[in-house]
Amino acid sequence: MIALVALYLLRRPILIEAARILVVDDAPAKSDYIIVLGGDPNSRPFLAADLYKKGIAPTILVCQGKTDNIIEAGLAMTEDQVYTKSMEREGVPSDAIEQLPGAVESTEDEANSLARFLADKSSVSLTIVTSAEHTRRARWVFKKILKNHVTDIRMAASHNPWYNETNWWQDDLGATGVAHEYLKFPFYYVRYAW
Amino acid sequence: MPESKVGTASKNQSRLRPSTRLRSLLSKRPVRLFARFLIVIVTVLLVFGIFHNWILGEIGSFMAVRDAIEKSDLILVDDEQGHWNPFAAANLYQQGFAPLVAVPRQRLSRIEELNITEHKEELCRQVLQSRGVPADKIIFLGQDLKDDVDLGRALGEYAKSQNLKSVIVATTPAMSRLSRSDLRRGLGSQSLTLRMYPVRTRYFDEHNWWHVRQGWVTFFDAYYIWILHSLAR
Repeated sequence: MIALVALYLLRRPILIEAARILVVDDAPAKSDYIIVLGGDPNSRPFLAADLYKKGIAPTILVCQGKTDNIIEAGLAMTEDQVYTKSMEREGVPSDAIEQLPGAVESTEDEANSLARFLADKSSVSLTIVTSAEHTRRARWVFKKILKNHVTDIRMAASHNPWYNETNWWQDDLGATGVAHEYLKFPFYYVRYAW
Repeated sequence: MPESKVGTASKNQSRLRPSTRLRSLLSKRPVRLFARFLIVIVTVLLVFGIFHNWILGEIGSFMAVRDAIEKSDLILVDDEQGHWNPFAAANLYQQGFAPLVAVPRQRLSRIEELNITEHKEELCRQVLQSRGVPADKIIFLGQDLKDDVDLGRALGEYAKSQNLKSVIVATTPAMSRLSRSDLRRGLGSQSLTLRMYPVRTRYFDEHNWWHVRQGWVTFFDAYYIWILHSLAR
């Protein structure tokens, strides 16, 4: 009973800490490539563009998104097209944006797509742009899959305009985003971080 | 005890019949508890293995509230993140189920504000018109709506001003229970009949969601948000 009352009274710092555990945000440093992961067109391409403009890397890599019926009907763009358009609007020249081959559906797919792109390269440095709550898991996956190609991986955490670590439980998108990470956490930890 | 007798006793023990050995093993409390636990797990797994289609179908069907569709005053396109809903709403309009189609004006995302992508309601309007709904039969509800509770309030105001009695809600199978409870919350004490019409997509619905990864994600989200909203109420 006392524990439940304590949990209720401390719910805010507990929830904030629960989200912070998921976040890895490294200090920006020069890299060979910035890769911006798919999943949140409202924050990730804008941070990638910002890092490019600060001279972090000369090239931004974008993964190829999947389609749906609205896209097939020509009424909407694929996610990578939205990313490219957003970054161009933010001042990134189109020749600095490169699309990785093969449609992707998961973080693993994205890491594998990048591994194919870097097949003949080694000692590459990489800045990975993704949503804050996704950074820790993404780092595990990229570190393991790219261990033969990449020597330095830096995570850049982007924040959705509608929520952050201090209020994620008040927004449906934030609540599901954090919950998804915790559901995937054990599996990815065993497979990629152990 | 002389050494020879000790040897005989241990030989006798090792010669115990398997059933006797099992009985003596099961007489120990921790072993008994573990055996019961194993039996429960195996039984649950067996039952799930045999009836998994039925069990998962029921889990999906609980969230998919599917009402009988009758002539109504309005068709509401809810949750147009599910890109199929405007197509289904246009079909219902063409079949004469209602004379008007309502599209919610949701809060704009960053890329919509910057006009990088089409606004959701504009996209919805284009689909409706491309499927034969005349422009003057499409109305927009509310402004900067955050969720279905906000939409319920906007719908309530419109229904009051136009004296509407019933609305068909074109939504997704996973979100229909959640949509109904949130819309009702927004409507408050206002009496307006909501007829939920979960739209089946090409990929999955409540009867086969476990066959695709996105189905698991969608139904997990639906249950999770439904529980969160219920707790917050």
